[in-house]
Order: sequence, then structure tokens, then C-alpha cells
Amino acid sequence: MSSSGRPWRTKVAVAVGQGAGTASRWLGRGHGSVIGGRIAMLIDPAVIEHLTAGRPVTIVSGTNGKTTTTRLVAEALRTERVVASTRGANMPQGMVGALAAEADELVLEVDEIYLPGVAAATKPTVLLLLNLTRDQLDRITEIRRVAELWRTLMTDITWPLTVVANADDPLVAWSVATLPGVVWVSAGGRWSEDAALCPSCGRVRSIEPGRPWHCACGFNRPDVAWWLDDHVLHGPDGFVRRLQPRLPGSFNLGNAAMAVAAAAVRGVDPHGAAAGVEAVHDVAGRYATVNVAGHATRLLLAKNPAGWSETLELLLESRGSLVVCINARSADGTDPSWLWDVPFERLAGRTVIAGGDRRLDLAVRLEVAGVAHIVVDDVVAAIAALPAGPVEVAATYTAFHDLLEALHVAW
Amino acid sequence: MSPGERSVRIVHLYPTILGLYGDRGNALVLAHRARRRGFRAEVLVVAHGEVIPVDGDVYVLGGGEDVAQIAATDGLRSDGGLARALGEGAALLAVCAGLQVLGETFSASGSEVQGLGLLDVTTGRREVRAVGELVADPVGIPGLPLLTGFENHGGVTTLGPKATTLARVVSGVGNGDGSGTEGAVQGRIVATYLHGPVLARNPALADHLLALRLGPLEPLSDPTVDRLRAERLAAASR
Repeated sequence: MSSSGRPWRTKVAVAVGQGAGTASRWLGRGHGSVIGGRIAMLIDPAVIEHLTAGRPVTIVSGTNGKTTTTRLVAEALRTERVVASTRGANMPQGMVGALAAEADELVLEVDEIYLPGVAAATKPTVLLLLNLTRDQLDRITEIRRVAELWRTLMTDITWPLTVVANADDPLVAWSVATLPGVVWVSAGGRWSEDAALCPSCGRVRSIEPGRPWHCACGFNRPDVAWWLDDHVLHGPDGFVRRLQPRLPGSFNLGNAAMAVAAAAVRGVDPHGAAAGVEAVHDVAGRYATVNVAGHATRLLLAKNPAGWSETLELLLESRGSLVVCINARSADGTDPSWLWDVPFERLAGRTVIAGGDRRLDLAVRLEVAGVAHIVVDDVVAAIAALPAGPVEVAATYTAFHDLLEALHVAW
Repeated sequence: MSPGERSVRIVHLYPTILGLYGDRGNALVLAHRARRRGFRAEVLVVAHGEVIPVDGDVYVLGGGEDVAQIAATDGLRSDGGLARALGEGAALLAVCAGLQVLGETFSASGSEVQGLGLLDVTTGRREVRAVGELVADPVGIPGLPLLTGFENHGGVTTLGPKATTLARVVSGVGNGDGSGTEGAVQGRIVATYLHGPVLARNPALADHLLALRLGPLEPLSDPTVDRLRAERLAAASR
């Protein structure tokens, strides 16, 4: 549907919402996408349904990599089409701005818990499911519950939908196991601590690194259509191409493979899609390198143990000074107990600058891990005071956004 | 025996299935505090299906989801090593789901499950999950300062006559059975709903568990933990 064909209530909702969003940005309160969307939804509760009607929608969900993969899918589709996508906001209120844009196709990041509601409202053509691991347990409470929500969603699908799913995550595989025609991708994942039990039968599985997961009950990793052999991506019909994303880490290689697979399902040439994906070098400030008082400072978002298992590798590869910022506001999850699931012991020998609201929780963790650390109130001042050289900053969700604001980084 | 000659063995049970809320930190903190006093200390991680050694000093059980809880109960029962170790004087810290599986019965995946019967408690299901900061006065272990941590559970735990209260709730929910109690103590078992993990935020409780095996311990200076405790206690009273 073109914007002129939308119901008047939807047009008013979008216009007022955009006005509020602009005011919010002008007041220095971030993107303004959430407040704008909230107001738009008050005026037209069905605004999301109305804005997506008649346009193909791809939804990206999962615990880690949502924002990045949403961007990668959008860039893959943009090699052939005009695409609008969300930029980090993943709850319904935050999506309205992206949906209102003139575009052939839409790519939306959706929070794991909100997925059933948003899917029902937007009737996506493609659903890209990344992974399910522990995160914000004060809100999510149990990971199994999310997988059950997804599984119920799959039985409620009444429209043509292709699911592109990470076959290497047993919980994701279980959540869509009842649906025919899933496009399985072997996207990997270092973290396996939330998959020790077979989601199907409850048995304790033996986890053998490097081998596809399997269980005595017969619930095994599905056969995959897309897989990575080191950096070489293999796909259907003999597709083979070296994949060299500019985004760092094996995790983003997996995200890139998922994005290419989703774009191929949307009918985009996978070679072109891969080139589009490779060109992305930062996403909503994540992985961006900015200058802080002469220090080349790379910004990494790490908000849970699975994300940290990837981030630790990046920190270990780097010779730069290390800064870690931990908050526990509602968007981060209010319980930072998960810090003890991160093997910070591996940073022994380095010195970590500990910042954020919960810097003392981090300091106690680092003390027990035997990692030298300095607790600071002002992270930006602490970076400025460092000896010359690069800096790596890893921060939780709200700490990351505080930092973007303090550094005046647009995202 | 001087500390240098005494090796302390911490046994961390089933961390891949009962270890959802960072509770593995409890094992790390116990070993760390023993080492700071000059003891040799090791953390032995026992996975589900492996034989549980009976010669450990302090055993640690963490929290997890329903399916994991049932699998852990089956594993602990068929192995039998934990019960034997307790019989030989070992100490045990059990957190959240760990507390529940030690009891007579608990509720998981919609049914009542037979627990290990090592702790005289029964656990039913709460309608509204208890999630948030929890502060409790540890009346069950004299001389300990306030306990601070984070609870995240759906249990209602009632103590039987053989178990005593670990603490009285100052703020938060705790056992949630209307008695205002939090956790349980029975012999050398200390059971609690506190994550955080609990021993990182309450090193005096860690020292209590170590002292059950090692005798009186010299005090340690913990300025960072003291600051963290002051911050969390202030946050919980707001």
C-alpha cells in the first residue's frame, strides 16, 4: 500500500507520532522512535497492521544479533529494492517510524517476547530466527518459555511464511520443528550453556564442540541448506561464495550467512546480497570506531553471557586498553548476576577500566577473576587519561547508549 | 593444621543445567576466599551423569528452569554421592531451584515432583513470580550481617520442623509462604532464594560455609564488596 492509500487515522497517527519523535530528538532524548510510536499507537491502535499491509515484511528475532542482522538483511535486500528497516528499537512502539517510510519492503527487528503479537499484526513473509539464550531474566524469566511462545506462534500461522532459522541452536530448532519448509542455516554460536538439555525430551545431552547437536530421543540438528566452511558460504543450487563481512567476529559471520539466506528467500541474488552484507561496518554505533581525545575507540555492545563469549574473543585479539561498562536498568535486565557466567578470568594480565551504574558488581567479579581493574565514575574522562593507543569499550545496552550520547555519536 | 597443608575442595554440581543466574560465582567466591587465607583450593565441576565425589568440603547447587530441575533431581538421586557427602560432614549451599530439589516435594512443569528429601521443606507454585532485590536478616546464622541479593523464582516454600529459617525478610518475598522467612538451614545445609550470586554479595555467608569445615577463619578486608553491599542495601530501601 502506498502512503496515500492508508486510513486517515493511520496518517494522523504517523504525522503526530513523527512530530513527537522530532521534539524528543530535539530535546536530546535519543532517536525519538519510541515516544513517537507510542503516540501513534494511541491514535491508531492498528497502526502497525495498517502500515505493513500490502508490503512484504521480514522479521528478525532472537536473543543476540537482532539489530545487526536486521541491518544486514536490509542491506542485502537494498542491492535490488527500496527497503525500510528499524534501527535498534525492537518493541512495537519503536517500529512505527520505520514502517511509515516509503519502501518496497520492510525489515523489522522484533523482541523475542513481542514476536507473536507483531507477527500476527504484520503477517511477515520471512521470519529470521537467530538464537535463544539467557538475557534479561528479570523480564523473560525462563528461556524455555520464549521457545514455547514461538512454538505456539508456529501453529497459529495462517499466511504464507518462510522461516529462516539457525539450526545450530537447539531451542530455536525446537520452537519451529512443527513447521514445514524451514530454511535451515548453520550459523554457529559459541555459547551452549542454555542448550544442555534436549528441548524435546528433557534429557541431558552431551555437547561435543564442532559436531552437530543430537539427542538419544532422535531430535537432532536438522539438515541445513546454508552452511559456513570457515569463511566460505555454501547454499542451495551449488551456491558457493567467500563471505568476508567487515563486522568483526565469528558471530557476525553467522549473522551474515543468515542475512544472505533470508535475502535469497526474498528472491534477491545471493551473490549481490553477500556483497551488500559485507559492506556494513557498523550498526547503530555498534562496532564503530570513534576518536576519544586521540584514542581510536571501538564501541562494542555486550549484554549477556552468550554475547560476551563472542566479545571476549574480540577483546583478547586486541592490544588496546579495555573498558567495560555495566548498567542494570530495565532495558539491560535489572539483575547483573550474569556477570559471573562470563569467563572474565581470560582477561588476566590485562587491566580493565570498570564503569557504568553497576561498576562495583563488575569490580567484585574482576577481583575474584584475578583481573586488575580501575573503578571509574566517568568513563570518557578515564579514556582521555589513558596512555596513547587504541581502546576497546564493551557496554550493556543502556550503558552503550549513554556512551554514544556522551561521545556525541549519531546512530 | 596450617592453611598451606589443608586443601579445600569445592564441588560445583551440575552447572550446565543448574546455573542459570550466575550461581557459579558461589563456587568461585568460596575458592577465592579460601585461597586468600593461604589454603590451597580447587573447584571441582561435576556434570550431570558424572560421579559425585564424597570427599568435598563445600558443595554448591544453583538455580535453573523446571526441566533442568527435574533432570538434576534424577541425577542427584541416582548418584547418591551428595547425600553421602552430607552424612560425612560436608557443607552445602543450595540456591533457588537447588533449594527446591533438596526438599520433600516441589512443583515443576505442571506437576508435583518428589525431591531428594535432604531438607525439610516443601515447595508449591506462586501465582506471581517473585522478581527483584531481596534483603533479609539472617537470624538462622548468628553474627552475620544483612543478606542482600536478587530473587527470581515462582516457588512458595514452607519449612518443616527439622529445618530452621535462614533469614527474616526485610524487603522482597523470600520463601513467600506468608511467614516472612527466607531460605532454610538444616545441619550443614544452607538454602536460599538469593542470587547475585549470594556469596559474592555476602562474603560473611561464604566464610560461614568454609568455617563449618575449616574452623574459625581470620577476617578479610573487602572494601569493594563493602561498597557494593552499601549500594545494594541503599537501593533496596528506596
